Amino acid sequence: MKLNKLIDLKLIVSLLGILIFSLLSLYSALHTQGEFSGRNIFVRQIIWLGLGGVVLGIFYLLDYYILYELSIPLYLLSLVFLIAVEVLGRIRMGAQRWIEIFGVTFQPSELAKLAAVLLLARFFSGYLKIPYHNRRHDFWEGVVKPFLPLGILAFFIFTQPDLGTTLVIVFLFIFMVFTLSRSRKNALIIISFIILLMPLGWKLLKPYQKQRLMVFLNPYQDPLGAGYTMIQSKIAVGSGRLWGKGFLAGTQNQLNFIPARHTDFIFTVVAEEWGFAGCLLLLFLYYVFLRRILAVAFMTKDEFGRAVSLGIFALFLFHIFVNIAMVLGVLPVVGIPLPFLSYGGSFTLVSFSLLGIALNVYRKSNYF
Amino acid sequence: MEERLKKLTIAVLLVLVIVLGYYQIVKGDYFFKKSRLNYLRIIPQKSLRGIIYDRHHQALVKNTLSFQACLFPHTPQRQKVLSALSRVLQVEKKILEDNFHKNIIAPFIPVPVYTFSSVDKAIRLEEKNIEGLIIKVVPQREVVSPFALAQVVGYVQSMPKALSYLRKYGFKTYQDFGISGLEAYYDDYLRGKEGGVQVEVNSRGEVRGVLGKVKPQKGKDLFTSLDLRMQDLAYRLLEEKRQRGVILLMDPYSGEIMVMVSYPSFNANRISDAAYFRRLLRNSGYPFLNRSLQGEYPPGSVFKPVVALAALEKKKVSLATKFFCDGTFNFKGTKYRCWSVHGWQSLLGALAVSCDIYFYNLGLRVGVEPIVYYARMLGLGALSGVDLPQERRGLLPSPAWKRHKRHQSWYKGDTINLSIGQGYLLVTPLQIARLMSVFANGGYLVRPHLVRKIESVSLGVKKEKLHLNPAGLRWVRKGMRFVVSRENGTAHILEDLGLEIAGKTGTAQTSAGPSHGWFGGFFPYHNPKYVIVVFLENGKSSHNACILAKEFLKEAKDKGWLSNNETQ
Repeated sequence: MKLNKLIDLKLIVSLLGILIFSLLSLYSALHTQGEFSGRNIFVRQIIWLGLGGVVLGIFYLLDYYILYELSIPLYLLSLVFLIAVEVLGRIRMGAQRWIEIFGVTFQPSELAKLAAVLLLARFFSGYLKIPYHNRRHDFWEGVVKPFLPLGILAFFIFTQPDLGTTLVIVFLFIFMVFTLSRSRKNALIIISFIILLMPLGWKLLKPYQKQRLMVFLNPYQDPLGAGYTMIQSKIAVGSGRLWGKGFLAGTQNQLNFIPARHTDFIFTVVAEEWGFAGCLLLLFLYYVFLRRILAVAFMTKDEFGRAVSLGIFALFLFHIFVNIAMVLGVLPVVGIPLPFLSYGGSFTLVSFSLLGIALNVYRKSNYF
Repeated sequence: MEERLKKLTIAVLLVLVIVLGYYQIVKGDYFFKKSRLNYLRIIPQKSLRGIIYDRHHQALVKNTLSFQACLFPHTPQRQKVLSALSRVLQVEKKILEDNFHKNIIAPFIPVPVYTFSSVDKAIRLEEKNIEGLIIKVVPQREVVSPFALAQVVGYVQSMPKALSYLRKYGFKTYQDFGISGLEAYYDDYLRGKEGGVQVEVNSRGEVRGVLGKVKPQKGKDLFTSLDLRMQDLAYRLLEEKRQRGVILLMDPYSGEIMVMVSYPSFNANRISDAAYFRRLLRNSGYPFLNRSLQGEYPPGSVFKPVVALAALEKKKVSLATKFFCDGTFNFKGTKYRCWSVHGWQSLLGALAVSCDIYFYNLGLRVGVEPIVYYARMLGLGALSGVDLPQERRGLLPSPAWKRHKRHQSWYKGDTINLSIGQGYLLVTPLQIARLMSVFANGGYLVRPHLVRKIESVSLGVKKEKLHLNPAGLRWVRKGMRFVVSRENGTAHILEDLGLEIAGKTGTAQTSAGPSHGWFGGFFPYHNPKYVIVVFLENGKSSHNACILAKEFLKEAKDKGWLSNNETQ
């Protein structure tokens, strides 16, 4: 059997390209003024990438129908984790988004993303089994059944508080309904329901989250406080111009003007040091990456595989778009990392497992 | 479906590309500049101002070292440091706190909170080793004789509100600006060029590296014609008598001013003390006023030589023409008085005894226009052009002026008043010195000035030859000599100095308080080297002015300052 049939080479190549960008940018972001002050974090990320490779291998090799069965236990597990975080946070009197297992911190909300993708795929692939003429108006099967568990999940994530992941879940849900139920009426019902929920959500937001959203409308209302990151990241991106300032030469980055630049704002480092040219290359790599996952979804004849792949596609698309748009000041600042570029253990592992599943579907697509 | 999702992906990424293109290509240069502003900072380094010297190369104003207590803007223990400072320096903590807030320039530049000159206090602060406190040594402007020189030399201040428009031209608020006196007039020369260090800072404003350095340039030195010794002497004499007034000593040929003292004065070194400054502003003696060029007073009889000169120039009288003085002069029903009864008087005798009635007659005979013409020729009613700011021009009345400003006709009575230097006429003491120098130097109108050289460049002497008949000038000169040399001359007490003084006294009546006392003259008569003007505001009589002139000249002569006063 040819290698090409076993593994999607274009997907792997684009992934490697993105990872090279990631390592260069992380090195630069953590390497300030001649001293490699963030060596710890950099090394840790390399370890995460290694572990990610292992996870990718596991998810690539296993029979992905196990995931159909595992989706509900995984969902329950992440719900338990989320509640545990909530309770621990109450006990320690503060917001908390992670729990510690054997000395390693883990963010359950990242696990929830994986669980959400699998659960939605399960619901919608089961749904596809119903004959087409019945599907169109089946509100209970098509909307309510997947909505309830995901709504509960989203609620717990929202109260963590983690607005970014909540939006990821909401988007996933809408996307799946749109692409897989093909019922315009259902989609409209869901959209209007979510819109109705929004004022309630606004009330539940923490003051600092509200401020972030308000500041988005006018960053100069508080240039040294909440608007600071937005202004500085715009300056960093813009000052890269066509060819960038060069590796390790981004002043905004090296002189510490951008907070959280190794996590959510890693794109500023790329934009500042590699310029418009570098950004175009990176976006092209992401395009190839997304395009291949999309191709996998429509290559397979298996409904679950297609639903999973579409979920993975939607998740990555949402992350890439929202993260970069946020860095560019087009969208408000919400905590959403850039896949395969940002530092972060949990999300790296989740990303690799999702990619592993997609590759698995690709491999299996030859059998269907 | 696949096609639609592919399009969605492309659309989404295209949005990002467009926004990126807008920021990085369209507005790239703008953001690039912004990022440079973000990390480049210039830490200013003050330049030294030029030094001002007197004619013997003795410094009048110099730069001394003083100490500045500074803190970094974000020092966490600010309150503790300020408390300790207020204890050692014995200053209210509130003042320090105010200074701190006023002086913040940037997060990486230490903020000066108090400047002091005591070495002891500096050592005590250093010994205490207060964390977060920085003691900086900074140049400070110091006037050598702060009272005697205050109005002449002036003082400096960091940019006052009135000059804040200069910020547009690159001046900094903390820079010293000359506010008055020579410091203001020659500010462009005295002010050096500021240097600076360009540094790279991080987001907290901490310095991460030095990129470039420009050394500050010192300002240019001024070499003045002042004589510090005599300046101090003149100030001491006025201060002892607590007499508001002016003493001026000038070279009649060049217009170089050697002494220019105005009393009351102020301590030019304490001007940064806000409470002191406010007290000065409220002071009824107006210490900021440099009376020698900003005070306008009626000249009284000091004006008579001008009338005499006009009469001789117009050939209205000869030396033999006499008028009779019986103490009163009736003109159209109004009585004009003389200060004494002088009998028959000729021109020279009338000058010597300052007979008013002679001059009433003379003035009426000459007419107002010639008097005004020659007064203007001798520099009255006009700026002298001295190199000090805010000079006043006095007031030289004329029929046209009266018609224009007062909407009244000029009466003969006005001419009578004018001929003894009363009425509307107002002069500054410096104008009198200039007038006297015309008689001293034989017909040249000089421009009084203080500065001879800027660094090594000599400033020329400006003088104007007046179209005067030498004979007339010579006779008035002689009359002025009689004022001192004759037994009955009004300034005869000056004769025993042996300086061959010629001059004219004046007791000018004023509506505000007692009369002003004037003495203006020059010496030695045969080869004049000095013009002297003593003016006492409300000094009661010219006699007091003569006494002061005598004390001043006697001491100066005894110390040998008058005989050996060439530039070394």
